[in-house]
Amino acid sequence: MIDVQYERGVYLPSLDLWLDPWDERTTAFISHAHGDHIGNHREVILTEITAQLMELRLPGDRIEHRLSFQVPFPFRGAELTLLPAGHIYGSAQLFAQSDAGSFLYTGDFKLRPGRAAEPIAWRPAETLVMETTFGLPRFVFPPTEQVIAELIKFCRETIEEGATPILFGYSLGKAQEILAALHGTDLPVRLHSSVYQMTKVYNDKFHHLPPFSLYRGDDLAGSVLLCPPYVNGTRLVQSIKPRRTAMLTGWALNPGAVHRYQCDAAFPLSDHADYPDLLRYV
Amino acid sequence: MHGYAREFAEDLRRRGIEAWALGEGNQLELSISLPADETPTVPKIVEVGPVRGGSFGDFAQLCEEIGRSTGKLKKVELLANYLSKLSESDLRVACIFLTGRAFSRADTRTLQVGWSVIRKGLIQATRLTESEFRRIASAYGDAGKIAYEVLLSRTAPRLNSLAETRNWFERLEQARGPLAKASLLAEWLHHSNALNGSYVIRILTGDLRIGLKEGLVEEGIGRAFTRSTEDVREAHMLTGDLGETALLAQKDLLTTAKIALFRPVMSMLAIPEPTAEAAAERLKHDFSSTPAFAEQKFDGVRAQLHAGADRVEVYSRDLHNISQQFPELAALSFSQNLILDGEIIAFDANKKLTFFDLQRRLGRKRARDLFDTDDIPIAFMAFDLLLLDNRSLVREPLHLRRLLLESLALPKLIQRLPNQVVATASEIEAAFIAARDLGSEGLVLKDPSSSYQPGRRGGSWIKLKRELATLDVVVVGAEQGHGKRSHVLSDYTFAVRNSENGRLETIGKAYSGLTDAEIEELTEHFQRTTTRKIGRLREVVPQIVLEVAFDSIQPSDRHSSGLALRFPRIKAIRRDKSIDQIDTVNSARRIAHLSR
Repeated sequence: MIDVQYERGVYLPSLDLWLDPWDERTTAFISHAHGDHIGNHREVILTEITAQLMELRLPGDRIEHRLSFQVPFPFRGAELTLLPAGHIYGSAQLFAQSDAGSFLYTGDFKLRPGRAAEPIAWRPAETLVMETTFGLPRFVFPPTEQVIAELIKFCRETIEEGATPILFGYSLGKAQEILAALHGTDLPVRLHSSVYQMTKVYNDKFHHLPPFSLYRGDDLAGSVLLCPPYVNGTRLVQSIKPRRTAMLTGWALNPGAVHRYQCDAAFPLSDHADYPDLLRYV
Repeated sequence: MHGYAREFAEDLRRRGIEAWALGEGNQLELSISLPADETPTVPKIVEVGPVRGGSFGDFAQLCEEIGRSTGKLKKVELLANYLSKLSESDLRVACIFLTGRAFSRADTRTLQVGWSVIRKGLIQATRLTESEFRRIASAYGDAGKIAYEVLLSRTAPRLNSLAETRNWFERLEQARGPLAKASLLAEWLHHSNALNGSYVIRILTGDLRIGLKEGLVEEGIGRAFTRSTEDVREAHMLTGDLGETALLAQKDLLTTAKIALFRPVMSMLAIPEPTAEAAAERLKHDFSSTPAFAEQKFDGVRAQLHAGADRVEVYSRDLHNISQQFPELAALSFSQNLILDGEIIAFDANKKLTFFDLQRRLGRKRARDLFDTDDIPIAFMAFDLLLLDNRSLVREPLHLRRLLLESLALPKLIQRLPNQVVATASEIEAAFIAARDLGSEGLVLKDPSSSYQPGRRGGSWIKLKRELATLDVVVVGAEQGHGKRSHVLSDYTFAVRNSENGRLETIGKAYSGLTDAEIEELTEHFQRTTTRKIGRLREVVPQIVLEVAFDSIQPSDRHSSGLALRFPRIKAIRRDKSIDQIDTVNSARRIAHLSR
């Protein structure tokens, strides 16, 4: 069995390899480019897309091993293989095989097919380290199609009332998932600058994203505005009148989510696996 | 791991699958052994050869000594001793650091490092967990002390020189984004001992907290090089750079300091008087020539406009570049190089606009908030000319500066503030009433033969205002409100400065006066800058300056200032003012007629 330790990040002592560590380490596997997973490590193992996204968010000099999915990479006496995790674009799981045994680290993942992420793949391993964000039985996400249908209804009704729908989702991953969901609806979509920057990287690969444009404070009539959650309550949002706001997060299943996020609506659209999918995965 | 790991692991075990949660306090059941080299040991100080020039450690030691000494004279003496021994380049850096800044006042660069970056940097540097960090941080109110406790014997210190430290601040300024900044900070702190790290953090927060005001550093420079404090102060006002001023002092060149384009100087200020009679009295006493010039006092934003050959910049009275907020001014072109002092007001020929309209523009600090299309029209009301065609006018008499100002050809957006002459109390009263009828806040009286004294509330300008009963205070604590305001931080505890020891002393608490939008914005700000939570009260980084109106001031033992405001209400968020410009306990006592 491959030995596993934990100290603010998973550590594989036999490979001297850290997995998504919180602190700067010598060698680290970066599962995806969300802010809480990237760091200024000296040597990193990651996918091409994660590397590109990380370059945008945390520029720096480091040794990068940009690996393709499913292609084994010999590393310190073991063989590492990256598998798509379905969490966001470029997100990967790490499979390690050595004389000591096999090991699989999921990073953040979801089983439901994402519209803006590679479909997940997996293989059995002796040791599994997995994320459990929604690891309580009450977290059961409704079918994605249904959530999206309700989301589109929300946007259309808001526009019919003469207001601007403003959707909040993380600028990386969630925002593109929303964008892809609105594909084919003829709803014009405007992006907040931080969403816009990330979406440009996505657009190289996912051609089924609908047309989008940067919001520069101009007229929004009839459009949907996509913003990162932190801008809710700022002048940028408050200057848009009238408006109806919606938060898109798995935590929308919690009672009181609408109140908590100070939005008009909340939709359970998540980049993580829900409870039944966590069980299925195991 | 993440989220509900423990619950999910239990769930899996019930289903017969061997599973445990990582990163929880229950690691015993998985018998995970932490790698031995991860346990903190007391690292030895690594000597990497002698540090060239002044070391940052010496600087931090000096600050500690200054902080421990109580008398002003003792502080000045310590400073003079230290400064007189430094090389030219170290002198420059040390003097700037002593003002609690990484860059000089005239240098418009900002580090963009807030509490969340500092917190992240400290955690990364020390490998503490969030909860360990929180436990330590909650015991100490100020960032410098938190840094000291957190870093103590958790780092591998190296020796750093003043120059290296200054270079690092430049790298930090250039780094883009909070993640990159936190990572640079963590690396630096990891190689600093607790004391040095603590002073790096203090410089990042803009206050050394050792009871050392700029005035004392100026005195220390004077003493070190046997120059008069007055000369040092004046040169500093003009250069806006205490490091450069110290060099001038060292070389006996203080009187050559000049005002220069794109290097804003502090605004000259007026002494307030409550009545026309009192103003007339002071005028007779303090002015060297009469009659005096009288100008309307507009309720706007004091600003300095610098115009060069192909560039125009506008600076606030606290020397921030506010050109972005007033693009129509920055886009003007002038036929001559000049520096104008004046007031930016909300102005529309067809409708009456107030300071409130202008405030709406001031709030837009970040570029992405500059989107509002309903822009408030403005005008720049010029009343003084400090430089013309590269000739410094600050030492010329006001009547000459005014004459030159009248002779200029200026764009339409720049208006000259009309002035008239007054001498007696009744003339002053008449001018005051006329100014108020025009919608002005009051009247400013100026000595026509006076020079321009940057940053001084000297006897050459007198202001007569409608009401005196406001104080500029800084918010030190925030609480959730009640009823419809229970989800926002709407109750603010605020403080004034004790000029004797430099501390902030609380003087009151206000609940009303702001709009819902302003409260929401402040809520976001205070959530980000909370340093400590005590029950409902959050201690916040003292940054937000409020103008507070009240009915009276009374002695009170509820607040540390020994005073309390009666019926305080917030008049405005003074975004144009920094914490250096808040009122003092003494000025509050004066208003209360408790002492002089």
